[in-house]
Formats: sequence, C-alpha cells, structure tokens
Amino acid sequence: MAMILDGIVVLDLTSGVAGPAATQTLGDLGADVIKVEPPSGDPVRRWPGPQLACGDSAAFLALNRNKRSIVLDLAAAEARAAMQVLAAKVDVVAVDSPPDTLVELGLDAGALQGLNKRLVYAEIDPRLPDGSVGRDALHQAASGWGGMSGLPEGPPAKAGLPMIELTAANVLVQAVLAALYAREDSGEGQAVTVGLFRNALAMTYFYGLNYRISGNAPARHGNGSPAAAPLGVFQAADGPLQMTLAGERVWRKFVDSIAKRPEWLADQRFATNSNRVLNKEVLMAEIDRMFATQPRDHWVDAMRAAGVPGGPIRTIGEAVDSPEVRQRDLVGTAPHSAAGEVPVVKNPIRFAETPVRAARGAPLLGEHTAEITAEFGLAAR
Amino acid sequence: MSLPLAGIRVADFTRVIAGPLASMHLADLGADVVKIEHPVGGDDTRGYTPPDYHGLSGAFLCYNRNKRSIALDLGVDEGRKTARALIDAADVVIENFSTGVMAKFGLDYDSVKRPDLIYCSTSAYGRTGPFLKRLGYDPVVQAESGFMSLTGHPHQEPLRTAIPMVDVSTGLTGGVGVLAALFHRKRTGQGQFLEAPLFDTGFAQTGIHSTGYMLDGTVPERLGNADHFQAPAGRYACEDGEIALAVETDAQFADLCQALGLAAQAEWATNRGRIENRVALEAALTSALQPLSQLEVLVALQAAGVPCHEARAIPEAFADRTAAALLDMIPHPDIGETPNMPSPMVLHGTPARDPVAAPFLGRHGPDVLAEWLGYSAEQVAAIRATGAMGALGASGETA
Repeated sequence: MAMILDGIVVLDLTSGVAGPAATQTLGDLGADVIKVEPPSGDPVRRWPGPQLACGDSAAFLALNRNKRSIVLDLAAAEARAAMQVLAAKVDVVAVDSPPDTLVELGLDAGALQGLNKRLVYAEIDPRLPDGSVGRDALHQAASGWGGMSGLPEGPPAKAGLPMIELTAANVLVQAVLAALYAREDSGEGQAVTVGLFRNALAMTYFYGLNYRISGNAPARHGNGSPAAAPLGVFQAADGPLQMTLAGERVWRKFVDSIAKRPEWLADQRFATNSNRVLNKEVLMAEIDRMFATQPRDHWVDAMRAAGVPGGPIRTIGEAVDSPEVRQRDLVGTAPHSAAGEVPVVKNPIRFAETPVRAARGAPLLGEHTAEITAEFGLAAR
Repeated sequence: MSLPLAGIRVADFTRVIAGPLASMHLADLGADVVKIEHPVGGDDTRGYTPPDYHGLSGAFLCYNRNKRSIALDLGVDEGRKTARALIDAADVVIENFSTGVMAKFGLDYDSVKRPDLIYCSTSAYGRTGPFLKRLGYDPVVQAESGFMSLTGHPHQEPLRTAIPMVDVSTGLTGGVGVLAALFHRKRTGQGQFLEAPLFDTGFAQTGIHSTGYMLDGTVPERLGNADHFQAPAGRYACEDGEIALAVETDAQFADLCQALGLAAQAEWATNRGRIENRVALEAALTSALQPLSQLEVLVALQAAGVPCHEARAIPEAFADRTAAALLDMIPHPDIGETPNMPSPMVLHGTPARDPVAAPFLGRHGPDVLAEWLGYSAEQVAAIRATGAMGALGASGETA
C-alpha cells in the first residue's frame, strides 16, 4: 500500500532530539529522509547507556529509524556546494542550528528558497531568551515549565523525558505537513519555525494562563491536588501504584468495590470531597495500610473492573514487558546493517488505509554516502 | 496565499485536553473547527475554575482558541440527527469519547463513513484489541508507560508532570495524523479512519529509554533535574538564586572547570566518566556554586560558552522581555479580549490566522447550522424546541 509521504525527500541537518524525532516521523510516514552528518556524526550516537557493538547508542536508534546517512563536512566549501545541489532537489530541509550559523553556511531559508521555490524549510530554533543556545532542560528552566512539577515541600523536578523537544518535534511535523498541503495548491514552499523557548512557554498551558488571569504563582502539588482527594501515589505490597479519585461517583465506587469499607461513606471526615481534602493525611494513611496487604495487580485489576482511574507505576522495563505494549504491538525489530536487527518502538499513529512504514533501523554514520552521491549526481568525494 | 487549511471543516466532538489540543492546532492552521458540546456545562474544562476570566477557565481558553461552539445533546434524537448532518458536511471528524459512545449515538466511523471522510479517534488503548473498553487518564498512562518512573528525585516518589504531558503528546500526535491524512486526501481524494491512542503515544515517547532496555536490559532510574545522557546538567543553587546548566561536550566541561576554578578529577574528562562519577561531580559543582552570586555565575559561564540559564519560576519567566512579547491578548467575540498562550509554530509563507479566543458554550449554534447546513432560523428554532440545543440563554448563547 502507498505511504502518505511517498516521493517526498527530506534533507535533515538536525542532531540531538527535537529535529531527529521530527524527521523520523516524516520517515515513518513514507518520506525519504537523508540525514546529513559531520564526520564526527550526530553526538547522540555517542550518548552513554545501552549501545550496539558498533558504538551507536540506543537513544540514537530511537530517534533515527527510517533514515539514510550521508557524511558532509560543512566546513569544506565543496560540501556546502553539495548541500546547494541537494537543497535544490528536495522537498524539505530540516535545520536546528542558530540562525547566524545557518547564514554563515549559506543554509538559511532565504538562500535555499532562492534555489528551490517549492522547498519547505523546517526550522527548530534552539535559542534561549538571551540569544544563547540550549536544549531541552535549559528551556524547561528558562520558561518556568521545569519549576511546576515536584513535591510541595521539595525542589522542582523537570520531566524525566525531554518533553519540550519531543513536543516541538510533533509541532514541527504538523507545520511541515501544513506547508506541504498548502504547496499542493500554491506550488510554493515556505519556511516554518518551532522555537524551543516559544514551545516551552506554550506548554505551560493552564498553569501559565491561570497565573496570567489570577496573578498567583502556581504551587507544586506533587502527585496530589489541592482540590481533590484521595489521589496520588500509593504503595501496594509489591510496588507503587497511581490512583486518581476525583468526584463523588468514583469515590463511592472505590469505597464499595475496592476498599469494601462502607463505613467510610458515613464517616463525617470523608463524607464530601472538601472533607476528604481536609482529612487527606488520615485517609491516605488508611488507604496505604489497606493497599499494603495485597500485591499491586490485585488492586489495579479491581480498579479497572470498577472504573476507578488507577494503574501500576512501572519501570521502563515493566512497561516494555507489559501486556498493553505486547498486545498492542508497540515494539518490534528492524533490520540494521551492523547489528543484523535492532529493537524499535513503533510510531503510535494507526492509519486504516496508509500504514506507517515498517521500520528500517537507524543508519550507520555515512552508510549511504556513496548511494546518495550517485543518486543526486554530486561530485565524487 | 490563504491559510493552509482554509475551507476544511472539522466536526469536533472532543473534550478535556488531548482532543481539543489536536483540533485547536487545525484551527490555528485555518480549519473551520466546530466544537460540539453538551448543552449542560459543555466541555469539562469549562469548569476547571478558579480562576476564571469573565467566566472562562484557563484550561478551556488554552485548548479552544479559534473554534466555534454549538451545544447539542446527543442523547436527544434531534441532537444526534443534527450532529450527523454536521458530520456529513465535514471534512474531518475528531472525537475522544470512551469506546462505544460514538457508536451508541450512531456516529462512529462505520456508521458515518464515506470515501473522502477523515475520522480521527483519540482513544485510550485503541478502538480494537483487548483493552478497548478501558478508560484512559493522563496520570494513569504516565504511570503505566514508565514515564513517571523517570520523573522525580532519586529516593523520592515518582512524579507525574504538572501539565498532563501524555494528553498533550497525544493531542499533538493526533494532529500530525489528521494533517497527514489531509495531505493524502489532497493527493488521492481518499479519506480514512485513524487513531493515536493515549497509551500508545505515552509509551512511544519513552523510546530513548525503552529501546535501551530492549537492547541490554538497562532500567533507567529517575535523576531529579540531572540528565540521563549528559553530565553535568541540572539546577543549582547559588547564593541568591538558582541556575540551570547543561554541559554538552568535554570541551565545555573543561571551560566550566576553568571558569569556576573547579579542580577536575581525571575521570571527569569524558561524558561517560562524568556520568559514572555523577555523585562526586555533582557534589563538587554544588559546593563550588553555592557561595557565588547567580549573576556572576551566569556571566562567567556564558563567557566560557557553557550552556546555562537562570532557572525561573513562572512569574520571573513571564516577565522576561522575549516571553512577554509572546504572551499576548487576543480578541473574544463577547468579552473584548482574553489572555492567550502562543501557538508554538510559525509559518512564514502563509498568513497567521487572526486569533479569536475560546467561545462561550453554544455561542455559534445558529451560525454554524446556517453556514454548514443551510438551516433557516425557523429550522434552528424547531431543533431547539426539542431540547437538543439546551435552553436559549442558559448556555450564554447570544443568538
């Protein structure tokens, strides 16, 4: 079956997380993504942690499936000339360097659009408000986003995943698809930009908007809420679980079907949500005592049966091995030139008519240099 | 050029966060998004108060910009009939009800499909398979996907993010799906059903860690404000405030040591060495920074080319000149203007939509029925008489 972006060629100059995550999605949708790397490669190849025998990191595999790699040293004039040849022929160029660097390299939007009026120029702008360059964590810190999560009595905690970059990736894909869509009618491409700082600000959403409305700085509430109880993290006999009881209907379900403590319904301390919030510590302690008597699965199964929101707090390993991941077919393997095959986490979008591309593992550094050089008629190098 | 999605009609049955975020980005790109809401109370996020801005909650305002609202009770025959007529006039349907709800109303994909219709279900665990009936909630998926195990400080409980980031990612992924489907339809004329389930999206975003687990069994721990792949990185207290820094290269680390007069151990020369000796490194850095002022640290590190920034809470962050310029007020049809959170994307070739703030419940019912379906005022009155649109005025509708 045809893929949605069949025939679309993406020249990807990005490294790190946001840009590669975006172009990977374009590759999943069927685009031919050509990853341009310096001779030293995308630094993510060398990130510590699990890695292949060839040295490429697991994180690199997770951000670069369905791409081809060409090495071009943009410090060399002939490589920059090759870039011009490529940019004239492709549909999308993706960049994530600061604008002045791109101008120096002759790879700014204006220069490339002059070569190719159908070009969609997709830009991640990495600049912090002071003009310096930073990745995810610094944008979390600069925007206030990274100060919102955490226990009320403790320090803030940033997201455990680079969420500002991962969301920026999806936003950039949306912008590219919108530009390709518009190009079908107009015949003209355009530049699109997702600024990491602008994205981080946008991602403060109702915390940010509520502050603008009320003037009150948002507090950190950990896993709880100032407005509802009981909710948060509880300990079962063999591990932590998460439960969210907000509202009377769910509270009654919990008391009747899970706690089986009908006397709580009559207990003045727990009779209303506001009373439960006032007596939160007593109530949470009661629930923890009860949860400690049985394993996590016992409670989670009961919650699912009763329609009470809750689930096990899994490690990454437990998540990968979970029935949800296995039965929903969210992981698999893909061919890889050095390792034979590598594990992949699949793209989560399911199209009924145009399946996403079966994954090909992330390329080795420069694996496709000769092939791409020949295809595009670049001077032999 | 006109807006990219000018002329695209979206019948939007979504509620709360994931679905409304998806449809808001379509609206930002020029689609005519009609939000179909229950006449009593409408979208739950309307009730996420206090605070409110002239009756509109922050949560509702930030996920429903550039949409129109019609109140329809899908439990009433005439409400379902009208919703079906809107679907038949739409290019895109998007919904995030529990599995079975749209079917109960006769509005699921199989009941309404036609060759050119794009129908996106932002489901919890998929519309098929063994978990289709399970309800989906952001904090539950943050827990089940492994995401929560990575957030928080070592030796403290795992944390969910304050903003429900699985909902957010799901909304953004659904938006990608719809835009891709629109592009396919533009080239082939063919619509289709698609879904971006909450669980699948929440799990997929753990890829940088779950791929490693599949490779060699490594289970990552949570590291507070530090980074799994690069060290040193984090938030550090100075004498009078906090800074964040994130060293990306060995050369930057050497420059950092020089700028702070930090005596570097030999094993800190490489990123891998710094990760393996993270505790000692963090302790040395923490005590080096503590007696210094925030300003002198930032000046010294910036001069040395070490990526860093003042660590800010929302009030300081929003007072920044760059931020303040992005945090605009936008017009509202009934209350003048409201504060707005910026769209994260800028398209330079097609004009930006002049934004309009999120509407009161049912504000555009008659307009939408006239424009999309050609209904006269009498026809609208007849629908209203059945109770399908709620009581006139009760919903804030001005028609």
